[in-house]
Amino acid sequence: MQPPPQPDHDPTLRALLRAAHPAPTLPPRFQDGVWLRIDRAKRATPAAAPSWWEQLFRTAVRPAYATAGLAAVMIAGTWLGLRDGNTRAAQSDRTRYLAAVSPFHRATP
Amino acid sequence: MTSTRRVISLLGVLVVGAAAFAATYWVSSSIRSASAQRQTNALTWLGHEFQLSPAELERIQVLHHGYRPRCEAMCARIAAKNRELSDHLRGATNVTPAVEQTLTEIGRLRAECQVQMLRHFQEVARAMPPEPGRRYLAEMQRLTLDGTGSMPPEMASPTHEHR
Repeated sequence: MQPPPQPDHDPTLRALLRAAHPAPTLPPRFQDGVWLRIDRAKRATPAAAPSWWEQLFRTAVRPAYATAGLAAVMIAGTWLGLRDGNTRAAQSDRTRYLAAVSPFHRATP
Repeated sequence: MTSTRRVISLLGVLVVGAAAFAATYWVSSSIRSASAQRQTNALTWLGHEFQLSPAELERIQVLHHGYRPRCEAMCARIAAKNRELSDHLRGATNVTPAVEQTLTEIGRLRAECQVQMLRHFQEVARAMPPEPGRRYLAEMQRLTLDGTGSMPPEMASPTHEHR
């Protein structure tokens, strides 16, 4: 028994299908446009990751971080200043005592 | 925002931070130092440094007030001898017998003064608990009697505070 003919092997059917789907007409310089877009896509670099100082800057200028940083700096300054003031006061007290008990002692050695 | 503007802004932030730190440091240090000095007398350092009780400090204050007139008298004698030496040295081009004698007397006065100081320091040390007393005596000897201390320059003008 002879098998039935396949549709794509049927020349009549193939001609009919081609006639039903005509090849579209391309716009002028279509091919150039395609290559131009490919070229542009190749040249476009991905967005670079921000450097450390950019990240630092972005963090530093945020109001919450800036306020907290300023407060921390001022607290540290106050604490170290008080400590230094205590040290200087102690040195001054020692000098005063030495000046009170030693005729030769006018300045801290 | 361009990189340059970011750098400038970051520097601005750092400058503001540094200025805030410096201002608070300076203000608190000055205020603390000034207020501490207003509230102190000659014995304040002893109380703090050697952790003395009010009773110990009271005993030392008595000793200190007893020592003060002797110290002032010694101070006046040394000042007088220094003035005498200055008079002898004025216009002198060589060491005269008067200069030599005055220098000898200054040396004797200095030794006498050191003996008085040492006795006072020992009395004060005995008025303290043993360990702070030892530390006080060593510190005083180092600061006032040690040959490497500041005696020679101070001999030129021995005036000092009496409080």
